[in-house]
Amino acid sequence: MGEGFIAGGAGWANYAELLGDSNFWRAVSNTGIFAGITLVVACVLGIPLAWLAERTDLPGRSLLWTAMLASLVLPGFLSGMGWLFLAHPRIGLINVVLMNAFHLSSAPFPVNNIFGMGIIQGIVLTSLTFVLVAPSLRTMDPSLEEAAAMSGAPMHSILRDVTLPLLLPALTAAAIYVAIVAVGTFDIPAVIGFSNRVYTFSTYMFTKAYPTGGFPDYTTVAAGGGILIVLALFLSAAYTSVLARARRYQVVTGKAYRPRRVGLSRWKIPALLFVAAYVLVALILPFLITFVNALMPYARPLTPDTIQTLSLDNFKRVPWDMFLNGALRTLEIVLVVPIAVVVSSIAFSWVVLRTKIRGRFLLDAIAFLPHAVPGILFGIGASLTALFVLQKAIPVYGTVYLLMCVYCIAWLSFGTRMINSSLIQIHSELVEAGQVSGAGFIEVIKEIIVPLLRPAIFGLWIFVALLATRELTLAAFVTTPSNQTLPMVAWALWSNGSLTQAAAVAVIIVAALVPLLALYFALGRRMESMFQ
Amino acid sequence: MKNRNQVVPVAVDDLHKSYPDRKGAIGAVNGVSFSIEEGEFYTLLGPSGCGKTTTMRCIAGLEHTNRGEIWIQGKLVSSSDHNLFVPPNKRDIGMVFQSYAIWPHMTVFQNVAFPLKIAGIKVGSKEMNDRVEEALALVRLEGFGSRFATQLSGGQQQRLALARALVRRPALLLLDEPLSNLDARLRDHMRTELRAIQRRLGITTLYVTHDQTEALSMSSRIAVMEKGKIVQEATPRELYLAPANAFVAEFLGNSNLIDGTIKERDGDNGCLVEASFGYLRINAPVGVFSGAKVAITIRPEHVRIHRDSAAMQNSFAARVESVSFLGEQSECQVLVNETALRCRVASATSVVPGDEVWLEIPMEACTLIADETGVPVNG
Repeated sequence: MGEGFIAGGAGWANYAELLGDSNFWRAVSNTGIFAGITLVVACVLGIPLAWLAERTDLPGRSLLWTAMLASLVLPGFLSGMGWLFLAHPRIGLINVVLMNAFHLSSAPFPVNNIFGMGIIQGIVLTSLTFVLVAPSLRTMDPSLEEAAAMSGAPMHSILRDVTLPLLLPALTAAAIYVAIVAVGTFDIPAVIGFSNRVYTFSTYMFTKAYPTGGFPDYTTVAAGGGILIVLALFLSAAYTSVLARARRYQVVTGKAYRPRRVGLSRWKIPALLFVAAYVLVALILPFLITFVNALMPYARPLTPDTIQTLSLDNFKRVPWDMFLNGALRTLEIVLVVPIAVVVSSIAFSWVVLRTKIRGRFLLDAIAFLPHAVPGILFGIGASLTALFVLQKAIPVYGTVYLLMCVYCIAWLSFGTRMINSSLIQIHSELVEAGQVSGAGFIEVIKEIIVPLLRPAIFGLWIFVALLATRELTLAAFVTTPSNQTLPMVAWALWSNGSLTQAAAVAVIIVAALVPLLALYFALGRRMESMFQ
Repeated sequence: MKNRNQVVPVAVDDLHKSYPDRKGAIGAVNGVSFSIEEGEFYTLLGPSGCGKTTTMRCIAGLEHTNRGEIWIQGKLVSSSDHNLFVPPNKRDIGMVFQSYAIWPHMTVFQNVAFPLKIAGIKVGSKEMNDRVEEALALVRLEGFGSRFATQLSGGQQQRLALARALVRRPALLLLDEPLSNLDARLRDHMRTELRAIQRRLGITTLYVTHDQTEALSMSSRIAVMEKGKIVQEATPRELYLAPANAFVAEFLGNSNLIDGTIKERDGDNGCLVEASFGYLRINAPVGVFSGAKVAITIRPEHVRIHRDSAAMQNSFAARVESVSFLGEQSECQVLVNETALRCRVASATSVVPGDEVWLEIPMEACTLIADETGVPVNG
């Protein structure tokens, strides 16, 4: 397939067709509302949580960090499943309980509309906002606030007139980044919106690339990708300029400050309740309800009647050949992608920071670009390229290698940022001391650079391995039945209506994440610092 | 020059090095030539940005030169003409960095053992253990081998860096402002120790510093650098007593710098100079003639203050303007016929601002350094 399609359909007509489709425009406005709500929820929850963790005497702050990092790597589709089981108008536990208790005629909290999806996505991305904002709060020079206090300013005025304006560039950068992710994300819109025909940009494109009947409409997918590129360029330009401004403020000096912590005193209990409520809503509830539903014959609320139907049958009925195939692909990816990201990140960072090669900053910009581009674009771009450009020369379409490439490119930006920040701390004289001691290039890398970077390398490896195990958005547009990963297996079952079997697979994926997560928290302290 | 190059430990010939800049290129080193004799302690002295560190880094091979040649032990290691560049790991050198550059992921022993390991000596062999212990003993770090380098104090890290630089027994030791990160007391102590170790080993040493006290007290020869050039090369004593120009004089100490005109020559080595505050009799080298405009430095510590006028040469009435207590000595600002001069007196001398005193400027306190164009007359 493929070539015959594109032959007749190249040109601006594709854009005209796409722009003339009312479903497209509904998806666009949905995406706007969805991303807007996501952004508000993620900031309203994430920024105060970051402030509580970094600038107050809240008890159990490191536990809060642990919860945040856990929710950062937990699959988004699992949260989506959990919340559908919790707040679906018909089968959602919360709605059913409330409707029965108060004899309501309609569900009080229906989640299967664009607002509900936005709120859930916002809760999911709160952890991302948290890890983006917390380091700026931590490394803020306390003397700036102390100077305001010495000038006689009370606490609320310090927060409003000094802290907030100083943090504004960092906050804006975080907000733009979260918005970029929200625009392109697949997990929540797919898991919650798809069956209810509520489409955002990503799911609309998915219906074009993988229609339930008929042939894939690649021309529309390409046109949609083109529009998204324009949007992405605009957003990434804004992101880069805001980041540059953030640097000019010099709030983050890289010096280890010990910021003054605010005593919460009588606000301690409300703050703890806030944190506990967040952890319950973002982590515990969605996971528990998904786990319960994985034990049910079909999706329905947990009541005294249905509790007797709980069994392990789903785990027996899962299509095991499909599952094993997905597990094998995921394993291959976890074995290859993290190592590839680590190696290429070190190479990129080395060239940018430690050589004087012309154009090295361009290289840095290229490595940074994926950071500001919705992941879905990589999926679409890679799949179209593989299908129409490379197919004859290098037949990668439908192979796991294409997926590996997409993952590597998408996470290289994260990897280079992380290795950059560690490499920059390695004084160049440490390397030069190796050279004058007689060590050549290879020996310097092997004996000095790699050992000094070891914490960062290890942290990056685990983090990318976690991301690779749970990634759905990037995989959605690159997958065919032959290179399906585990999250795609869960999604395929879910979209076929086998909700409880999909829940069972999601639970297995989380179980597979546990050993990685254990490693991840064994390195807890280092993980926190790596986001700086 | 070639013959000389082949016998001395280091020879640098017409070295140029510039860095790319937004407006083109900034010259860091503009034609530096010198050579160091066997066992010498040779110092490059100058303010920051004068090119001294760049010169050293070129010798180490950490920078590529734009022009000129560098020889180490008679071997050409860097030459732009021959397009030759020997990388640092192939040069027979040891170097102590300003930051010490102690590898934090290694123990003290491993840090010192690293150059030997790279040279192919087996880890755990008797030879390696003996040589590392010997190097550690040299810097008085015996018994510290199993510690992590980060557990050492600043002074100990500095000694460790020295042990690591010496363990290979290199032909040349390079020291890049090694004392600048230590506190004042430790610095004094390490200065003596460093020089003692260097003497004991007899290792040819190139030292870079901006601190004139370090340079004067440690070096066998000093090259003072300004704007990428060597402006004077001499022994510490020559340099201090006979600076070649005003820059060297000011850089080496808080000299008074006075303009004057030679009035008459007085025998073979004396002359009378008309300075702004009066007539001054000083030593003058041959070749200085009457009517020449000159600059004179007057060392503050050589100027004497007297309560009353006695039969003295170069004696002037003066008023004390200010006195700052510096510990053993006090620095006085005095006014002689409306010219301000600085002088140092023992703190036991009781002078207070407003005192009318007599100033004695002995002939040996004065150095005639340059004519009005700044060209040295005794260089």
